[in-house]
Amino acid sequence: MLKKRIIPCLDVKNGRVVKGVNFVGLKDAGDPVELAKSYNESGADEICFLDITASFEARKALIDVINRTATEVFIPLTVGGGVNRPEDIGDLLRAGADKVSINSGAVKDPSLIQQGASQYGSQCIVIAIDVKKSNCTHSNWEVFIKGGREATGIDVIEWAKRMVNQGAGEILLTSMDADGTKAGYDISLTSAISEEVNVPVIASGGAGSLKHIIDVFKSTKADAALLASMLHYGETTIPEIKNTLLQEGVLTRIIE
Amino acid sequence: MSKSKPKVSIVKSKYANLYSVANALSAIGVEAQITDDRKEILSADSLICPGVGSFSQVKSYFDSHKLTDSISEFINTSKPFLGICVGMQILFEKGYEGKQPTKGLAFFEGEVVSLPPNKVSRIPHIGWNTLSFKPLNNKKALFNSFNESAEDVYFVHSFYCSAKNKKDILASAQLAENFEIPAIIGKNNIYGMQFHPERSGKVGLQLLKAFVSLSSEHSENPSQNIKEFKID
Repeated sequence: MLKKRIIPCLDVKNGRVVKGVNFVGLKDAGDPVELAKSYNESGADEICFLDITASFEARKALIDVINRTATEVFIPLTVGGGVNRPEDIGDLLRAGADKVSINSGAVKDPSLIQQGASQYGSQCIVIAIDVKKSNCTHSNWEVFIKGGREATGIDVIEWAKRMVNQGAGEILLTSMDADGTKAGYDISLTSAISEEVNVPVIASGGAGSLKHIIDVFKSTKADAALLASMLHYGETTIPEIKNTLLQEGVLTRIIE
Repeated sequence: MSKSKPKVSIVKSKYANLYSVANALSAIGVEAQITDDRKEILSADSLICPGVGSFSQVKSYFDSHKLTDSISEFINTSKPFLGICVGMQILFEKGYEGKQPTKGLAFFEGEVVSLPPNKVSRIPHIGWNTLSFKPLNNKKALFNSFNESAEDVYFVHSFYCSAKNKKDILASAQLAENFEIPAIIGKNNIYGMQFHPERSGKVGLQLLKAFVSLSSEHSENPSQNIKEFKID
């Protein structure tokens, strides 16, 4: 049967790894290729790079990082950040990414997902959705863009469904409210979205303990959990996470 | 087992993660050539055809670049061939992905159809799933060493091969209580993998190694050395 995935996410800036708390106050946490290799060896099911700068120069550094990762790491690599045009998708895929995650770009140009899916296939198009609680939408959850700085007025459930209809093959769902708090994933948000769509959902934002990871798999239909600081700062390890999940009856991929 | 290195070629197309496959081969010591040239394809000891995108797109690209003929010609030489993902799917008779049904190469009987939403809760089927190897007929000793262990490999697809002949299915993967799909198919010199060995970590590299080993044995003694490949 299909296993629940553990995905370390590396925020990349100018070719180096950083992780912000609530997206501000960045710290350097190392070389992305070395980190990706070490996560691969410890049993990560996938690696995610998020480019948090999108200048031309930073882009070249990112492409180089993807290239180097792709020659050394043989598990799937998802790359996002600053993807605004179909050409951006092609550039990242050619560099060695297996999937491209699209966030603000899909709001600015709602046909981007469709273009990407028809050109490269749904399997490599991930819609990344940043969400905050809000009174101005039907579900009380609103889509935010530009790293959480700009409200869109779009209801998250409608947006998720619409993006799936247009060909997104997976949803990377980040709760801005939970992100950086280490108080746990937003279970009600993750649950709502993973019930509404039939594509895989990756839960993101808020993981601070093993219990949080167990909770998101047991209380929602999430298919994967994205992890950052918990792993980057050595608070836990992937084998520890996976063994705990297994004890709790959650199927994961165990490597020797 | 290393005598002269086998010449492995990868079918070049717009619809494939060519470099992922080449990188994975390089990690097991095989420098593959990426080509769409008929002569180069035919002179290879073994051929790998990766494919991402839809059945109809990949097939029409192959048709318009004369690759359909080159691939069929290669397969008919009896040298080892491996299709990955859509590269495996096009080996069947017909595919339903795309605007209209598309004819495949028909080396395997069966059709490529959409995963059934009433049985499979998540489509696409994305992630790591376990290979369950079928009891082998002795011709398919290639994957003998994988039999004992339940290995996980990485899948990402929305369509699957509904194979008519169960004996073509070497390994399957379970997507729901009552629903499984062919994960590895094989008949004579033709193999297919629905998952991505180039993205399946160590297990994937071992599977590619097992396949590549066929080419060095092809012209000599096809039954020897095969059991060397174990997962360590």
